[in-house]
Amino acid sequence: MPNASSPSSKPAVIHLEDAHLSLGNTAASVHILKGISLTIDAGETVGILGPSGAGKTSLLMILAGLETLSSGRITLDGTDITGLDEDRLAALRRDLVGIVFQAFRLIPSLTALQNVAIPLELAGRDNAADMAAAALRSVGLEHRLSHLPDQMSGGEQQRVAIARAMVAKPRILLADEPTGNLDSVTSEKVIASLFKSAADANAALVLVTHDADLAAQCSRVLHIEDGVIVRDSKPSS
Amino acid sequence: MTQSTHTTAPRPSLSSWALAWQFARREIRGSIGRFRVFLGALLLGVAAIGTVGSVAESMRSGIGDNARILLGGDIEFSSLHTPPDDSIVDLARNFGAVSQVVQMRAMLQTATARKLVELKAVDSQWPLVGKSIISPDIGLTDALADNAVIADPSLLRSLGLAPGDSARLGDLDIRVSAELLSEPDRSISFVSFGPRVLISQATLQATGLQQPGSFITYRYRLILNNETDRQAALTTLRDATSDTHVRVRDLADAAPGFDRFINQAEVFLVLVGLTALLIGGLGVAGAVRAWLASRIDIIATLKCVGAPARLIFRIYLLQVMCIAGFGVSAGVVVAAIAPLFAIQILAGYVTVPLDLTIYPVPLLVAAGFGLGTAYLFAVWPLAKAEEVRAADLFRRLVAIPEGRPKPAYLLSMLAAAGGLALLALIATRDIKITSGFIGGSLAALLLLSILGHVLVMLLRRMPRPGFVPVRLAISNIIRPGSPVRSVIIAFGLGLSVLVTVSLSEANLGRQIDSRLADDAPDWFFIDIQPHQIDEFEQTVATIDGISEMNKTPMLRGRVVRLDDVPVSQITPDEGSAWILRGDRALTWSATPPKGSEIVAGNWWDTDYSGPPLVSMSYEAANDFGLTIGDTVSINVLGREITATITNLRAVDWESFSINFVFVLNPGVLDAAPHSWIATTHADDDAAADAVERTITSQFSNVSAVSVKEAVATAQQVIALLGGAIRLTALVTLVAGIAVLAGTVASSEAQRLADSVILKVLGATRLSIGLAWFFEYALLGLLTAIAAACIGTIASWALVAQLLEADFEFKGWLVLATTLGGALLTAVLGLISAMQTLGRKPAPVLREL
Repeated sequence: MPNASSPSSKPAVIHLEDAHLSLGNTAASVHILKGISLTIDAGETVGILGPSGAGKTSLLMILAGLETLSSGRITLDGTDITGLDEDRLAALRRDLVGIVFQAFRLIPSLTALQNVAIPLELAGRDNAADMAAAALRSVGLEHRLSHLPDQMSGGEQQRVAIARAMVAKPRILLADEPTGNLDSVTSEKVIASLFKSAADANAALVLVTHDADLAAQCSRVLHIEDGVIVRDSKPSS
Repeated sequence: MTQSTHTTAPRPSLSSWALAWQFARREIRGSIGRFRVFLGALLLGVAAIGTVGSVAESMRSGIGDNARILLGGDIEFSSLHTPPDDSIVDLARNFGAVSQVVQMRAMLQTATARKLVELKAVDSQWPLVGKSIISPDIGLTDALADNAVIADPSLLRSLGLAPGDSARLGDLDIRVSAELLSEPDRSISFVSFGPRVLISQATLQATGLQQPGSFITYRYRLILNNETDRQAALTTLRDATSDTHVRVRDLADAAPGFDRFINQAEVFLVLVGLTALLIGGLGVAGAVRAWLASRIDIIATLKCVGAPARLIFRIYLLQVMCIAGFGVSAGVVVAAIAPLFAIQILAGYVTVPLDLTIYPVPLLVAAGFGLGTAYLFAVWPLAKAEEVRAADLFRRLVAIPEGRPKPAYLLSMLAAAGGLALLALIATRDIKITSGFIGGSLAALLLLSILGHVLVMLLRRMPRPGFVPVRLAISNIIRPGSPVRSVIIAFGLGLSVLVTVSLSEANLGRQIDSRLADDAPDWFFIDIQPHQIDEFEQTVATIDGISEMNKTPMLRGRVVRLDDVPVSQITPDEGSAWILRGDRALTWSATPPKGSEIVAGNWWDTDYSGPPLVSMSYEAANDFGLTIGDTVSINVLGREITATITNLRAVDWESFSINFVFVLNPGVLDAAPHSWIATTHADDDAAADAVERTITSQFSNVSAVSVKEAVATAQQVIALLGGAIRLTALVTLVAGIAVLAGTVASSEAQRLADSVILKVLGATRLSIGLAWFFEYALLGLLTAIAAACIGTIASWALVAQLLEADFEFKGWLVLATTLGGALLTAVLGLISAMQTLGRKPAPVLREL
């Protein structure tokens, strides 16, 4: 089942067409993604499941514009990003894509507020601090604005990362094992924040996970094996 | 598919320096600690260059500001042997007051001791500028009246004299009236042949020392009535003296020779300082790379959230340059303060009135060197950091990419290198030396890099030893990414400079010492009158233990033309420029001088009586492009003599025997007022003392110059210079050590991971510590071998090629340096690494 089109009629924010990804040199190339086609609409929540090495993270990187397709096309929010240079991709990511990592990836020398403000500062926004404070409030961290990452718990750090990912109101929110470093109670709070943030912004949420229960909370689940989408399902149905 | 605005290029503001600064500012505080090595290296290099420049500037400024005092007036005209014509003195008097000073060497004798002194006979006008200080302060006129003398306190002490005591000077009994504490127009030099004795001109007449042909300098100082007359007076005097043996100097030439000495010493020391900075630069590159490696997650994260590559480069460049700014500022502060101490040390050797002010130009040049070096060496790792793949964050494989940076960055490095070369040119004012230094540095870097490569290759091919710590040590050195090459280059360059300096100094010192032991005469007797020479010879012959006596007539003349080209139009080689600068000693002989080797042409017949012929030093003739048949014109006591070069001689200047650049045929100069010079070789100290005592007692006008004392004075100067050079060379070594410490620090994470895994596998702390000790000892040994090779080659080039002296390989010195270097590296490396060894494995394992 290589093609996975959006079953709804909402406007597509992600459109992938026959995407192939090979890594390594020509002599020892590894074919990671093998002709994936995919459309994800605004407001959709998509969980990606699959065994290690199936190509889940590579797909996420393609969607973030961090990896270049070997062949095929990718369109984000109506913009064909295939073949854009690194700086244009960075600008596009800043305006359109938010990313949440398993290891949080906060800058240790910056406070929570400063970490969240980075995308806005990069965009040259004057009210970066106010918007960052609002984003932190939305994930329940208004009391942690001036704390450094190592003064916060893992769950709080991940919520700061979610606030940073969502602060510029992106159309796409990508999360790579967002609860991989957290205990179950904290994980629930973080996932709640993640889904709420995506819903508030009507952003498409794409979530890579090994946790089938977490994937089941999404409106749609893609199963990837050996670089191919083998199943595209709706857990509720 | 509709195209939205997202494909537009990043907004210019994204890469703006202001935004970069906003990010850099937040991160910089946490970064400073990681740049201790970087800061130390910059501080050292900038401080060394700035101090040398400031001290040199202080000396130049001291000379410039006190030019009138040093010259003794606005203009000086002087002559050797005979005074200038009265008409010239009268011409000078039209422009202002003129004071006459007569200088010569003589022996001051007491009943039990004698000492060579520099006599200065002054008139009532002296000093025209400045003030002399004498003790007791009885006034110059009184102090010099009735055959009284004022003398240097150290001279009086050494002869056991005090004011009021009597002594003998030439044929005259004199009385010491006062101590000379300060003399405004004392010429500036490192070497003085005798302490000063001040007398009146009437006293000089009475001593009978003023004999025809004696080495007497007559100086006339003119102080202008009207400042605007300066050029007119100079032109008038130069025109009037152009065909005479009189020389005219003005304020611009107040310290002839010394200015040049300062410039040359400055050039050399600045270049050694620059080497320290270049070595520090390698430390900069290592420190920046290690620091960026610790920042790599942040860089990738910034890229993930939309930061363009150029912004990343600017954020980190700003931090590096800010931190470099701290190091450079500290170096500049040290360089501004250090002359205080340097000047105090130099004041013991030099009579320059040293000025303690802050000189902005040398400090700015030093700061420019520091910032330029920091930029040059930081750009490469910074440019690679902007290429960090954000995608790797997902795979936890983030690393600084390998390979060459983008062409734009390579171009900016070229521009920085060009800027540094330009600064070097400003600091040295010599394109030949600057390009030689750049070429030499590149060659040394290349050679060290090749040596490092070869040594690693050899280690790889060697069979692995059975002893585990040594096997681990070798594996650490030859593994990919090992710091072996950067340590060999940085530490090796510092050590190479030290080996070069030590080996060269040992070689030159040995030559002076061995020459002194083997060939050198004990005494030079000067100012022997022609009518005294036979008696002199007979007297020497009566003294037991005198194995050899050589004598030759001598007078001085100034070279005015070479093969009909005026010397003013000749730009001589630096090695032979001295021949044209001052008055040169001349002699004549019917036979080739003893020990001379004729390398071209033939000596004249013993009874030759035709037009003047000259035998010239082969080396000098070569430097001036002269050969047999060309002519040399020399002004002797106002008379110009043009002689044809008949033969060229190889002259061994280091032999301390009587040597001359020019030897004429007999009959040309014999009639001119001249004196004789003689040397004596004694079998022992008693005979040497006896000959000096007898000759100076019997011939009151003859002065004895001790070769041992002259050499000791020269060696004192060499030791001072050697000390300065060694100190600067040590700076390069310290910079190399700093780089080594930085390299150890930058590999701490790797070392920690290695040690923890080894501990898990059952290795004890002792065996890991031993492995690291062997690793650094081996690294030090490899570095020291490389440094020994390069230092020896450089020293050989300096001693044998440039100075044309004999070079001898000093095995013990090179061995000491080699072992010392290896041990130093091992100990320093181990000390730095031991902190890592103490870490408990469990917490580290959790992070791995």
